[in-house]
Formats: sequence, C-alpha cells, structure tokens
Amino acid sequence: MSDIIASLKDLVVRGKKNEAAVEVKRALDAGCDPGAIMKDGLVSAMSVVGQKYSSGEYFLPQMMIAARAMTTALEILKPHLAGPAAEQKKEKAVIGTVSGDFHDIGKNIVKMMLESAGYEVVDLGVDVSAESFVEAVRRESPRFVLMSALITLTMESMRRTVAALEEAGVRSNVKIGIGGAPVTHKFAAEIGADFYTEDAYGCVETCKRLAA
Amino acid sequence: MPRVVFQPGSRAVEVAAGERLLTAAWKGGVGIKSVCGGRGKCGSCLVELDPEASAAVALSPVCEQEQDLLPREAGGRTYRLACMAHVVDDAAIAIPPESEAVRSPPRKPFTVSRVASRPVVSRLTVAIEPATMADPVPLRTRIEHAVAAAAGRRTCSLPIPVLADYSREPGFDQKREVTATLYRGREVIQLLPGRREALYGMAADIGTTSVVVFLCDLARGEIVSVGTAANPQALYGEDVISRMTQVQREPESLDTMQRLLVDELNRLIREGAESAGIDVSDIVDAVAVGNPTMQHILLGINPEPLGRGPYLPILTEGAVADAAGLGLAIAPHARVFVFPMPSGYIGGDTLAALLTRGPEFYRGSQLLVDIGTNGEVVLAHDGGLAATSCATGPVYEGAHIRCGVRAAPGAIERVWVEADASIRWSAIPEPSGRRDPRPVGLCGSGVISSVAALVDAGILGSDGAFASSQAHPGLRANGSGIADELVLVPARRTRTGRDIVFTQKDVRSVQLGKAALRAGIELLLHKHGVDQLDRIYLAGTFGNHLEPEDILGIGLVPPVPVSSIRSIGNAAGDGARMALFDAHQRQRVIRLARRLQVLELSTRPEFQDVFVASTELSPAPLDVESLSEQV
Repeated sequence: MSDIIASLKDLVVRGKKNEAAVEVKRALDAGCDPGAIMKDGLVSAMSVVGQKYSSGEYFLPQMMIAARAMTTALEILKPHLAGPAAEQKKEKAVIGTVSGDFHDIGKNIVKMMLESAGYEVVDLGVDVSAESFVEAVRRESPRFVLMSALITLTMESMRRTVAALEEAGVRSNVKIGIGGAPVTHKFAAEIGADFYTEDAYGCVETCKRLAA
Repeated sequence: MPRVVFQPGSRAVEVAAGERLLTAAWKGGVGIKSVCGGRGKCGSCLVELDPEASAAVALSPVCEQEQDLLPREAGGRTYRLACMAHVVDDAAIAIPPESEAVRSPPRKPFTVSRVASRPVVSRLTVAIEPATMADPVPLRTRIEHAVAAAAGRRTCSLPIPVLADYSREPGFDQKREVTATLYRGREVIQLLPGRREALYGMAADIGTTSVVVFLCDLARGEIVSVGTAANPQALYGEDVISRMTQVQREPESLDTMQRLLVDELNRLIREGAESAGIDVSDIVDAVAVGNPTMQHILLGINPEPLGRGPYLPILTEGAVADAAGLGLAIAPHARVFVFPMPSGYIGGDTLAALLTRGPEFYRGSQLLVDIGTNGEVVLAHDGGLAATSCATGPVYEGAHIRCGVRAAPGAIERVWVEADASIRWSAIPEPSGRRDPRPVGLCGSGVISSVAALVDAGILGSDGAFASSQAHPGLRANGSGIADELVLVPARRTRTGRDIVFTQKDVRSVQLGKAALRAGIELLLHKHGVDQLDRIYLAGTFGNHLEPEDILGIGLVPPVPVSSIRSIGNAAGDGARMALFDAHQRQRVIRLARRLQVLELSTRPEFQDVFVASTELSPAPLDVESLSEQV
C-alpha cells in the first residue's frame, strides 16, 4: 500500500495531474488510510517541491504544475477524509501584500504551500492596509499573520501594520512573519515581527515549528 | 577616530567607530558598487581587508546574513561586504575591480544626424539709442522697443531677473549695441553687450546609471560635443528604488542627489564647452530626459511616491524650468524643457526614444522596447499608442548574478559553446584597445548570451534547470548530486583569481527578469488584439549589445524573423536632441504623451499565469494554456 502512496507522491512532485488523480483512486480502492494518503502522499510531495524550489532545481512553472496535481488529487481524496483527521482544527493564517504594494506572486506561492501543508489561509489580497490586517485578525483569530513586500519603500507598511496590531491589542495573539525580495532578518527584528524567511518553503517550515 | 584607507588610490577617510564601511567610502567619495543600496542583499559591495595593514580588530564580526553572501572559496583572503561590516579600528581595504562603482562612463553610442533646426530660441542684436535729458526713456523701455521692432512684434517682455543680470555688466547703460536672446520669439531670456551670434543648446539624457550631455549648435543643427559620465547618485544604490528609499530614510538626501547630478552635468557642460571652444553663456536652451525618478530629482521633486501604488508621478506633463533654478551652469535664464512622464515608470527617456520613430513606426504593429533595470515597452498598432513598464530587475545590468559585473573593460559580453563542448567567450576591451586575456565577470549581455548558448547546447533545459552534472565537464553538483553551477572560466584564467561561474540561481534571476519583460509585452499585445508583430526596435545601451538571435533564442520577445529586430542605439539621447533642435518636436512629444495609453500590469488578474509561462527559455510562442492543461 505504501508503494501506491509513494508513487502518488512522485506523480505530484512531477506535476502529473491526471496520473495523480488515477493513483489517488487506486490508493483508496486498495484500502489505504485517507489520512496517510494525505500526509505521506500529498503533503510530503509538496514539501519535496518546496525544497526543490528552494535549491533552484524547480522554478515557478514546475511548482505551479505540482500544486495543480496536488489540488486535483486532494479534491478526490476530500470526501474520504471524514472522521478525526478532517475534524481536527486546522491552523489558520492571514496573509496579504502590504499597503502600496501590488505584487502577489510570492504571496500566492506561500499561500499555496501553506494550504498544501494543511493550513487554512485567509488571503487578504494585495495593497492591504494595516487596518484591514487588524480587522482580519479580530474576525479570524488566526495563529499567523504573514505579510509580503516586494519594494523597499513598501516595507515601511509592514512596520505600520505591526504597530497597528500592537495598538489594537491583538499583537500577542499572533505570530507575525514577513517576506519578499528586499526584506531581511534584521528588518524583521527591527519592526518587531516574529520571523522572516527567504522563501515559501522556509515559511511553511517556520510556521510548523512555531505551531508545534 | 579610526582611519580607513581604500585601495586603489590610497584614499584615506576618518570616520567614527561603528560607521558602516560603505558609509565611510561614501564620505570619502570612494565609489563602491552597491546594487541593493546597502541592504545586505546582493553582495555586490564585496571588498578585501588587508590584515597586515589593519588593526587587529578592524571591522565588526561577520554575521550570518553577510556570511551567506561572501565567496565560498576565499583562498585565504579576508573578504567582507562593505554594507555589513562596521568600522571598529584602523583598516586597509582593497576594492576589487568588480566591486568598484563605475567611474569610466559606460558605453553609450549615439546616432549623428544633421537635422532641420527650428530652435525655440533666437538671438537679435539691436542698437540702443542713448537716453538724453530731452528724451528721458528708461533703459528697459528702450531695449524692449528696440527688440520688439527688430523681431517685428508690437511688444516683447523683458523680465526683471534678466535685466538685473544685465545691469551687472560694466557700463551696461552706455552700450550702444546689445544682443537679446529670445525664447519663443517674445520673451527676452538674456541680454549681453555687443554682437553675439553663436546659438548653442544642451541636451541631457539622465539615466539611473549614466548621464550624457550633448552640446549642440542650434543654428547649424550639429552636435559640437558629447560628454558621458556615471550618474554620481549611484553612491546611494544602483536602481531607482534605492534612490527613493534613500530619500525616504533621509529627506535631505534629495537635495544632495539633485546637487550631485547637476554638478556632474555642469562638469560635462564645462568640459564640452571648453573642447568645442564655446562660451557657456552662449548655451541658451536646454532639454532634459530621464526616467520619471531622474526627472523628479532633477526638478528637486521628491520621487518617493513613484515607488508605491498607484505609482503616479507628481506631474505628468512636461516642465519648463529656469536653468539657474536647477543650478545648471548655462545662461541662467535659459529654459530647461523637461519631457513629460505619462506614468511612474514611463518617462521622458521612453518618449524621447518614441520621438525618434517616424511615420513608418505607425504602420502595422510595431514595438519599441527599452531594456534596463526597468523595461519599457511601447506598442504602435492601428494608429493607437500603448505602453507598459516591466520590473525586469537589475539582472540585465549584471546584478544579482554571482559573477555579474557592469559593462566595463574585462566584462565578458559574449559566450558561446563550441562543437567540442568547450566554452568560449569574449570580453569588452580596455579603452587602449588592449585586451587583457583575463576577464573580471559577466556583464548583462554576457549573462543573456550565456543563457542562450547554454540552452542551445543542451547544458540548460528550456525550463532553466541545468542538465545532469555529467552533461558537461564544467558542471558542478551540490550536496544532493544535482548540478547547480557551471564554471565558465576557471580561477587561473580570471583577473579576480576566482572562478567565473554561472549558477542555477543566476539562471533563475535571468528567468524572472526575462519573464517580467515578456509577460509585459504579451499582456500589452493581448489587450490590443495583436497576434503578430511586424518589427521590434530595441533602444538603450543594453539592447544595443544583444544579439537578436540570443534575444529570440531565450524568448525575451515574441517570435519574429531575426531581420525584424532592429537596434536603435541610445534613442533617448537622439530624441532629446530632436526636441532641442526643433520646437515642433516639443509639441509633438507632448501630443505623444497624451496619446499613450499606459497599461498597469500589477493589477491584471492574468499577470501571474502569463508571467509564470514566460519563464520558459524558448523561442516558441508563449503557451499559457499548456500550464493549466499540463498532465
């Protein structure tokens, strides 16, 4: 049975959408535990994809294609995921590109990686004001607030958002992570964010570590 | 206070302990390259500490962020990043050639063409009747009457500042002959005693990296001198964003940057005037073009809002400013025509390039592309004009590339793979024409040329991944056995004593820059229903040094026959000169600016898919569908 799951994982890593769909059905027919298919097949496939992206071996298209294969397989798997595994409360993250910044590809990759790692992600979109982040934190009570900025100038919006969360008295309820090409560890420390990661894979790993 | 001595040149600077090495260099006027603006992100400010000549603890310890950017094999040398190392005690620092900020001006060719000259300024020499007790007409009125009569007008205006300057001429009220310079035939912008016939103008092309000043004889329609220099604002970072960030961080640096720029323009004007044997007071008109950030800074306007959505310039129409107000050392009341800037990233330089295109540009579907840190694309189709700008990033300037250097002597500009798989290259020659056989690194065109050659030879896949590490002897594998860099030139043959490599991450940077431009082009074409382009014009220094085969080979632009790609050189400078020579061209550029429909890419929902598909290094038409249909 673990052979089928291993083969499913490989198909997702290689982005074979249709074959992955067939394989997930085969795994279910063979009586594999849906939770195990999810964890050892899909989630672990996306973790491999993330690592490959980090090292430069994979690039945006390979990542997107793998994510699509994963989503297709997940749709088939979902109805079978009833029971304790599905009931289990998911960790929630609120994500957005900060005020004045319209870049969303990086943010979307982080979102995708988090979702495939089993997180519930509330995407606030781009050009998100500090107030909208505060409002979302109040509404959604997430564990994580993740911000993206791709321009040096809009990094200041991250500082303002952290300050606004502080002011609203919700700062201590969340872990704040920031990312984007111009962002650094030093900047994260300077504005009082909890972490910076260089890429989406690092972000997922850090969230897992902090949630553990 | 600690003393830092920079080599080459033994330039010593005293700074307070704790000052960053990069800041120390700025203070001493020592140019160290800083692509990211001193943020510890790019590694371009790599310098070497000479432990023999330095105090025991000369610099702060290396932190993790710095460590990641330092060379993997240091060969017993002490390398540091100038932006991350803080001065603790006396230090001796060597700046390797690849880390020096450009001092020798980059290559900017220009097209010399004689043009019809219909300048906006003219000169009239008039006789002034002396005032008498019997006929007590004030001097201003006498001059105004004489100039108006000579110009065949009823009136003309002689503003106080012009008169005030003239009144400083010795014996000004006794002069019987005066030369008036007229702006648009009706306003006096300069009065000089005696007869002055020469009529000169200045056109400045202000780039983020370099500036070019043309001095032109407006009467004859000829260029009399050309001067090029590095833009001295490069101290504050190499791209427009770092200049904006600097202003955000330190508002007074706006004035510093404006002054640095104007001082450099003035130096070029002075040198040009001297070599051509002309008097700067005979330079009575000026035109300036640049990207919107440069134009804002020249005008002394804070460019910071350009860096944030909605990316709007403070003003979009052209501006006419007083030379003296800007600090330009030409006739003080000469008007400086600053080109319009339709959007935050489409500026006077793009419009100037567009200005050089004649009626043939407007037949069929034609594209004008200026590739640099920012890519600007203008589409002429069906009588309409549309434009967009793409954040290509500094990869085309050789930045964010491990062994990337600026286009300067010693930089590899072409790479090819022989049939026996050996990698060959050619570098930019020394100004003396001598070719140092040892290269320094890869410049932007070398980067593109490498990618094209490696894809062509099968060393790189069209997805941008290196082939297996056995595919070429120069490939090196990482810990997991996957090839992640290719040695182009081994250490023993380089000037730096380190291998010149091309890494997997470099390829990814090229793909990002390439995809940004291609996606911009594709969305622009799609919006205007264009399937096939008739011609692509490449403007700018970089476009000039790329082989059309390479550009098409990696799919930087949509497929067209090789012969449909034309390099048009430094078109921005050419367009600026056209507007200097010909008043009509200034009206034309204002009209072009109004007609230009700017497409903002960042808000297009389909951008992501098109961008991702555009990362493919292939000459084929873009295949966005395949991405969603992939099995």
